[in-house]
Amino acid sequence: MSALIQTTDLQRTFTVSAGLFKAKKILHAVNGVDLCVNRSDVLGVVGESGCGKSTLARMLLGLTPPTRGSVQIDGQDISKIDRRELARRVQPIFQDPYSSLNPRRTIASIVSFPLDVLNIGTSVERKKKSLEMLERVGLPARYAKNTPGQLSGGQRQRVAIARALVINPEIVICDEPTSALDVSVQAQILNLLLDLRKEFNLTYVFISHNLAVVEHIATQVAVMYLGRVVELRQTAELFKDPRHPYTQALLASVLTPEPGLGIPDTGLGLSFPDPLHPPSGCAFHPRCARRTPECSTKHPALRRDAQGEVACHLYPSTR
Amino acid sequence: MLNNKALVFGCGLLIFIVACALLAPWISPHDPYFQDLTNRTVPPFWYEKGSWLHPLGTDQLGRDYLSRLIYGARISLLIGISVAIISGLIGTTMGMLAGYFGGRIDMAVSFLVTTRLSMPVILVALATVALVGSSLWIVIMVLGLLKWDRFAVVMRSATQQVRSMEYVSAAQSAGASTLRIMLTEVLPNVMPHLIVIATLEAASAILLEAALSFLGLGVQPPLPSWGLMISEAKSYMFFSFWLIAIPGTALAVLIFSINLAGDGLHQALTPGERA
Amino acid sequence: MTIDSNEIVLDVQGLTVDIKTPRGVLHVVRDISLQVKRGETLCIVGESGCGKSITSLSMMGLLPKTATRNSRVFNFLGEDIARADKRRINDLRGNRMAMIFQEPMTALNPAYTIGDQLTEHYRHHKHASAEQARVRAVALLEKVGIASAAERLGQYPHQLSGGLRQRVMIAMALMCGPELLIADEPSTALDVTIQAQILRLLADLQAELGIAMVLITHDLGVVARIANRVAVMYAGQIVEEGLTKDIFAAPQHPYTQGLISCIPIPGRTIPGGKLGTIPGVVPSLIGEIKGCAFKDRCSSAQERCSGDIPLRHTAHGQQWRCILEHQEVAA
Repeated sequence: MSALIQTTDLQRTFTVSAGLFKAKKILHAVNGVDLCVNRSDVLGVVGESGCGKSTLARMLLGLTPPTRGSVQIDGQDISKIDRRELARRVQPIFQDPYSSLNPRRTIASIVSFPLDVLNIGTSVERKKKSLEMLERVGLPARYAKNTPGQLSGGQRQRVAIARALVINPEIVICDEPTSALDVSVQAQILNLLLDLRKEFNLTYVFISHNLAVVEHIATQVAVMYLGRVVELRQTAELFKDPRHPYTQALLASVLTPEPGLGIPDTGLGLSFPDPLHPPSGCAFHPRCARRTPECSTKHPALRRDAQGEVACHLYPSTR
Repeated sequence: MLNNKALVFGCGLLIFIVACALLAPWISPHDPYFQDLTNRTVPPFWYEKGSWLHPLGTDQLGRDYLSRLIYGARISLLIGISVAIISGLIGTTMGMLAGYFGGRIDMAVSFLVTTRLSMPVILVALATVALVGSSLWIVIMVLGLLKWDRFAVVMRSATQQVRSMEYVSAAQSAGASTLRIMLTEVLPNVMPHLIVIATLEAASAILLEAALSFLGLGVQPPLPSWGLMISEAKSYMFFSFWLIAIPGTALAVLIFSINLAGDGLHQALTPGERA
Repeated sequence: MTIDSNEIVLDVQGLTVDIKTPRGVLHVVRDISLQVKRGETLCIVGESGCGKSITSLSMMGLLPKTATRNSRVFNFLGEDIARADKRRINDLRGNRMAMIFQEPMTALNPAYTIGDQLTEHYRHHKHASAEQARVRAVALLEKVGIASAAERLGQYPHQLSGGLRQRVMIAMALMCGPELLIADEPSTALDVTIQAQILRLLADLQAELGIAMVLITHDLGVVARIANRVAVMYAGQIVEEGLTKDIFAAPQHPYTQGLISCIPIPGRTIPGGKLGTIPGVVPSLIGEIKGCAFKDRCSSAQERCSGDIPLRHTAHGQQWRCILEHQEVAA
């Protein structure tokens, strides 16, 4: 069975000016990412700032063209798919509920916007579908005439979800959809997303820095570091037995609400990842407690085996 | 919004002036062009020699000053609005394109703006008028084609801000065309800035026209442009002071009301709706 | 100096903060009481709008002009600071009471070097020379784990990463040797791995220097790992308070219970299962709230909840404001 979403050596660079008289720098935001997402999967993408996950999200949505490599949906390169056809298949949910809704539109017009653009149904049918979708996400019809300014963060995020699903897409790219929400609201949104996935048979790419949330919702997890996927595995196994030292540090940093466990020492040292000056060899080596001399000179090859993927010299590629 | 004193007062005054201008044919006591050489430079009613027949007196050709003042408002408002519209269309289009697309388009627009800023408006207007002749419509065209720079600069940065909002990305993901996004997502959200700049540019255009007409290079007599009235009253300044003071005051009041309304609008439209 | 580990550093009773807004008076903090002892970490936890940030600002006397603060007791090391004059507050602030803010980007002045900012208050409060201040700054930067400390003094905030900036903020707070440290969401804006490092640093420093710490956060994970005592805030009130292990093992207030049930815990909550939720929204804080502010969202609400709510407690010092009595919660 071919994957629903596939990326092949996906890359995206940006040129950044470093100052008035200095030469421009190259930022490798996404530096060679191969992913496969099957229908009905939830791929969790985790990583910290500078890892490229937001750029990856934009490329999956077709908003940012890759500098190299491609994104394929059902085998078709998305740069060759008509913009509107792509819209029918992939929709986003963004992080900031305060900037993802046009403050000058009513809720009803925000939710029906994709239907209007794609010219689906008559005006009456569109209105009906929008209201249905709003109900489904837990916002009664009386909110339809409000503007976003009158809604709370959680309610706005529900509107964003309704907008994403109103045209029945197959894939939803969720870029940190709950990071800006209170914990109790986050739980509601996560429950909603899980219900909708079952009901509409959706495939999610769920990007987040919150590992506990990803563990809850994702079927498999890709860990990103400075533009590359350093580990990819089924969720339960990743959390039980992480292989890459960065994954181990990430998991160790998760502070679960369990008293008495204290705060672990992640052993990462003080250096921080700078995407503009990536270290030589393995990008993680300056912070790695288990580095070897090879790590600073050679970039680790990706190893694919029964358990998943990992790019680390501790697990040499079998190819 | 009614608490916004600047807005209420400024708009109120402005509406009053616009109403007078619109109702000119009905409220002016006389024909502004009718010359009565037997009644030259009659002072306004509060002077000894004045009367209510000509409440603001007459000018050096015996024309009723109040009527000329009211009809003059039409000219000033026409100029302000037309120039704001023309320069607004040019500058906003340039600014929005530059802000939305960035890159080379932005560079081109910035170049044009810099070029335009290096030109002194009055001198260019003078030179153009000297070449082409002067009339109301030439003044409007010249000013409209010169005064778009502030629109371009402000709309560019406003558009850049809106461009980075996630609702624009969401609209792109929905498959909306660039034109549609610019019109339905960007434009409504940069409108507050547009309105404020439009009021400021309208006021500035009115003053520029008055200056040009004062120099004899704007509107031509016998049109009752306030600037022209001031110019014609120059020689009578020390004898019939009101001939200069009245149009001068009217000009000041109009500009004041426009700026006040613009200020009030700016206050009313920012901060946004965020709680 | 002997450290009396039972000495109460901060004692607040009956604190209320009201803020005047165009729509009416906002009762942001409604009659809260708390105490922090030496060497103890008290976490104030709550969601947005609960009043925790305003509480921390009022402790430092940094409230906006539109706010009025009232309290029955407001003592710092036994001294009444509610009635203290401006000079005394300025003496204490930055000197014996220090604060760390959430956004290291905006809390550090971009126009001055790290060295300038570190030494400024120390020289003012301790009347120290530039050289003495410099030596102490280097020592503290090393203590918070910053390498090449001497060179860093000449750097500007924008040249440092978020994690480093936060470490600098901590060093700044410690320069004058405070006895109380208030940290408002000190790790929220940082990456997950850096967050753990910063919190560990704070915990270590506190243990070593015997400082009393008040840490404001919305993250129950942080609370569980670093706090000795927890105060749960909702709609301007402390609805539950007690030792961390007691609060998590047997939360008594329905809001606390709801909050804990919302959080996905790898290894404990079932992946893909339903997370607990708290229906409804926080009530408006403008105008008076009769009885319990949580009653509209509480599954155990009764008629009594609109009246006076008793303050209940256990023998261990766990307290909660609810009509419900102590429940043994199943593990």
